[in-house]
This record gives sequence, structure tokens and C-alpha cells, in this order.
Amino acid sequence: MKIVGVTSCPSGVAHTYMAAEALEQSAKKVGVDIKVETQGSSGAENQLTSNDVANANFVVLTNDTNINGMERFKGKKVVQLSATQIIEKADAVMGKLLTLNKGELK
Amino acid sequence: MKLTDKKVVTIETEFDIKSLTKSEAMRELIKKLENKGFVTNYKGFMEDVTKREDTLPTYIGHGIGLPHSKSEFVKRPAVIVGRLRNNIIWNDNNRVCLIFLIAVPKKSNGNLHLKILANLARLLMHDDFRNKLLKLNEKEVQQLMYASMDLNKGENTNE
Repeated sequence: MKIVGVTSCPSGVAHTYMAAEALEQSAKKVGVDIKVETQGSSGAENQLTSNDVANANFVVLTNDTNINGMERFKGKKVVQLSATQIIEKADAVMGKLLTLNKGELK
Repeated sequence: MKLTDKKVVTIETEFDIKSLTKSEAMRELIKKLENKGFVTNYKGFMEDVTKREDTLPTYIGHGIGLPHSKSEFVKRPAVIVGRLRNNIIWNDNNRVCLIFLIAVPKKSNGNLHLKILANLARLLMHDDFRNKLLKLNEKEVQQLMYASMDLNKGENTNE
């Protein structure tokens, strides 16, 4: 399973990176391939390519502020949560996505 | 390249802080930065940090506060790690026992301030890193911080 994500937050710094790190950490635990773009005050880092997006089963986005480049995710399965929710419950989010993914394969 | 190569950012520590309020604790940390020559005017810097705190408190969970400022009262970039004897109220119901105060000169190049913040925010998401911060002594925490702060985390997987 592959996941891509984009994180951002109102203050533009700490929570953007904490959410990204939380997602990466949780994905690693369950062996899921993940790439997370951060849209902080210093601009977008680790930007997703169209290939990354095309190959992803799910897209995880923060919903605290506008995400740049939403059109990239048209037609994809998108999950939107606040940065805080992701930070606190990244493991649960990852578990849920794994379950959904298995369901689809059946 | 590591963020702390050639000590772009110096790590200071202050453990066993006995303060019971946020402003007391911050004052103690800023005083130390002034004594060590990183901050030129503790009152001025305290005002800058407080202004940012009042707009949006820097509580980031797990009992950690991350106050920061890019200020004209800072001479050289530093992060001071403060460990408190008591849990103090940071904002609302959030209590803090660890403080990372980031001091960056107003004139510093590019987005060093944001890079340090991003770097710390990522590191502090790891349970094992936070546990070490609570257990190690001052010198060990300094070493840990120098070893862990890496600008290219997430972009460079060779490390």
C-alpha cells in the first residue's frame, strides 16, 4: 500500500512537521510506503510528483488551512484531518487505511 | 549537511528549573542566554518571545513548550533546553515540564529560524527521543541534540 500526504498548519511551522513526522512514523511501523509533502512558512518541501500521487492508494491531508495544489488529488481517495488529530492518532489513521485497503482487495 | 555543523546553532541547557510560572521559567532561560552572550538584552528578547506566545502559544503536546523568536536582541543562534522540576501551566490546561527556547538573530540568513523549528518539531515526535531528554544529564542532552539535529531529515535517506 502506498500513501501520500500533505501537511500544513495555521502558524506554518511546528504542527506541519509534527504531523508529517507522525504519519511517517506510523507508516514505518506497519510497513506502508509513504511520502509527505510539508507546506510550511518556508514553502513546500519534499514535494509530491504526479507519479507519487498516481501510485498512491490514499491521500492524507491536513484541513487546518488551505492546501496548495488540491487539483492534484482529483479522483483520489482523500482523507482530511486536522494536524492535531494526525499528531495524536496517526497510528489509528494508518490502521484504518490498511483495513480499507484490504477490504478493496477482496 | 548537518544543521549543527560548525555549531551554526549552539545548544545550551538549564536543568532543575524551580520556577512555578511560564514567565519565570522563560526569564531564567533567557537570562542564561544573556550571560552566555547569545542575547544582548534580556528584556527586549523576553518581550519578543512573549509577544509570539501571546498571539499563539507554542505548546506542542507531551508537556513541551517551543517558544521562539527571530529578534534584534539575539547575537548568535542558540537553542536552550530547559527542564523543570515542576509541571507549569503553559496555556489553558496545558502543562509543561520541558522547554525548548529558540533564539535566532533578526539578521540571520534565509530561514534558519524555521529550519530549527521544523527540525525540533520532527525530533520531538519520537518517544525515545523525548524519554532521553527526561533522563540524560545536561552534557548528554547537548551531545544528543548535536547528533540529532539534521537539516536534511526526510530528504536524505543515506544517513
